[in-house]
Amino acid sequence: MKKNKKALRYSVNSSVIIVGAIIITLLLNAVLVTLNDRFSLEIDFTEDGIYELTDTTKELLDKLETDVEMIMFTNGTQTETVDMLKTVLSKYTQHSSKLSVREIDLVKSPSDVTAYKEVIEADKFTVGSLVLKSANKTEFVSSANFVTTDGYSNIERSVTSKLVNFVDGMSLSEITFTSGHGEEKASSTQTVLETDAYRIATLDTLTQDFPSDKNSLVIINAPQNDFSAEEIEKLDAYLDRGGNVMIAFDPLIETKLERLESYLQADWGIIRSNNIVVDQKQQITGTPYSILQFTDHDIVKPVKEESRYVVTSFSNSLEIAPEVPQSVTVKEVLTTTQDATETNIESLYGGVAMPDARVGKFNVMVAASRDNYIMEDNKTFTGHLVVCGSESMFNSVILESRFANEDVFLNAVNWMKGSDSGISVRIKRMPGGALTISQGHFWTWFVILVVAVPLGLLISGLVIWLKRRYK
Amino acid sequence: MKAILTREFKSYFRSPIGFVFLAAFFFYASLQFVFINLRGQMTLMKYFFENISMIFIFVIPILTMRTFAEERKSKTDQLLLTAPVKVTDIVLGKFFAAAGVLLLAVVATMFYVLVLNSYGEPVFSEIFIGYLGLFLMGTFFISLGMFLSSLTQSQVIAAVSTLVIVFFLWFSSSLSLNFAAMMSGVFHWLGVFLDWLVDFLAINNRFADFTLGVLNFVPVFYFVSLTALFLLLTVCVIEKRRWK
Repeated sequence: MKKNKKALRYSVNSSVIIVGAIIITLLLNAVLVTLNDRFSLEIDFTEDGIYELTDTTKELLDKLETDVEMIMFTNGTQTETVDMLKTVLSKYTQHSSKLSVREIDLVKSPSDVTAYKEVIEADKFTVGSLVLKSANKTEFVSSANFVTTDGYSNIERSVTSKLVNFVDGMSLSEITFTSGHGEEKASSTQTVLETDAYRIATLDTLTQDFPSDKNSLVIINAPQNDFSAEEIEKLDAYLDRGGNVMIAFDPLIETKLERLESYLQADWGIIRSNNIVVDQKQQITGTPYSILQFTDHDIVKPVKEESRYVVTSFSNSLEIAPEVPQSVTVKEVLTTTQDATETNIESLYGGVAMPDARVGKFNVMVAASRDNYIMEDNKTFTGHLVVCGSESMFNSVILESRFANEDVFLNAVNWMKGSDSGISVRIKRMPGGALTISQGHFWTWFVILVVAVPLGLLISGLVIWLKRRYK
Repeated sequence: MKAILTREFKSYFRSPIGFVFLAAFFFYASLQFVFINLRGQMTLMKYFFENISMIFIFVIPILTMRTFAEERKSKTDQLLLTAPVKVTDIVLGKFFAAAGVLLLAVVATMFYVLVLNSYGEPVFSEIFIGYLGLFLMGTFFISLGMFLSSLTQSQVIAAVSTLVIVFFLWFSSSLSLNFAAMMSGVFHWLGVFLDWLVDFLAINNRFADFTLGVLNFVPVFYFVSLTALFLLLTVCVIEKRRWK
């Protein structure tokens, strides 16, 4: 009887303990999940801090005063991009209480997506895409470029650049493309700039004035026709007041841009040669692209340190004049190797050898700055000019591939505009890297790891079993 | 506890069970490593961890099925239960012995990192976090398997029930259930709770953070707390039997 009573008491006690333990476990886990929504309870061990927000994003979030809901479209399956996106978005909500995340499962609730069909760009809509929504504004963020094929993450850059539109008093920095001289459209370059939170504008230099903001940037992309004297004057005045200009030449046009080239030579000490340089030894097999050489210029320094490649196809060479105006500093940014050869269009297409063709190192990209004191403002302005011998350096094929051309382009933009202008979040390297292993080594490891070791373990087990059995 | 731990750990290798476990684990892990990393020519071990964790569904039951079921069937549990040792020590001793075998298997696969290092540049910190997640998830499965083993005297039932439950936990997130939408009126909140519970129990969601190279304390606590919970449940089951 006494024993039964004790057993009963034990049963009651243990039932209470079990129920209590289950409730406490569930509650503590729920509390931690809730805390993790607001505070970061994790440490990022990835090489490039891929799940950490950059200071640029944090500063932007600190200025956010509007409630923004980030609506994420998923389909119930876990993909690497969606996993990464969820983790990165949780960092946004942890940093700012103004942000919240809502997931719409396209399998469970397919009709929910129709509420956002106005803002969603159908051709760019993929699983993991986002809609950012405040009381009076919506923005679409496509997941198509979240992870690049060469292993880089664009998630933070894409989200932050759209969030800028929700911060009061914060406008996107503008980059202007000139028109009226048969310029190339440069749509991929413009996409890169938009992803990096720049607003794109167009400027007809004949009828319109250059921007007045010294942080602005004007890009002249592959002009086919020359500038007028009046336009050159406007361009010079713009640079005199601290403007920034990037010129990319098309090496395959035969027309000489007399005024523009004379201006570059006389006022900036930059000579565009009437040639095409080819660096065959640096050419990547099966492509028209050759690998370029870095100098120590700030524009290429980060890419050089990461040992990445910048490539171009045909290019004009850009020489620095023996005598450069005193207020101008001009430096090489990208060059060929010493083995590059010079040719021209006639030689390239007509098979006629270029007379006196040179062999050696040629400049493909140069950067210059010019100080100008303006008395009425009692101030010295520094204008920046970057000249590329080939517009192909920033065409869609190269920008979307594994090369670092996009980085160099954005670095050049930042170098000219100054680091504190605009929002700039760079892509981050995804975890993991490449491995080089020969076929022979692969099979050696296969035999050792998949066959020999497990077989050895099984034989050991069998021996022990047999020993014990026949002992 | 130390004596029980030593006895149990040695017993895994006095019988073929420990070797079969290690051989099965190492064979599958090596196969994944060779084809994902060496054939795929990448140092990233995320996919390796995702795939290798699935083998736990099948090999952990081998490790845990005999912990209590065998002793109960052969009646040797009577000796243990009447011995002057705490039930907690018995449970923890057996748990740490099984966890030791698991650790041995996991540590052995760290040799792969050395192989990667000779052909590329793996990021050790990221990989270490993956291993930590793998071990924590394995110990949770061990505690669950031990609890189920304590409920039966049949090793087969213990193994199959562990396999089924771990299998469900692993794939529950893929079921795409939406109880909240299915239940209306007063049952709506029950549906919301069930959705939360299914999400809570979805092991692979918890494990995902580790494979990304992120040490998140939420899944760490999740695995540790559930391991502790099932060990406590096992203690209660054994204690109850002792009282009987």
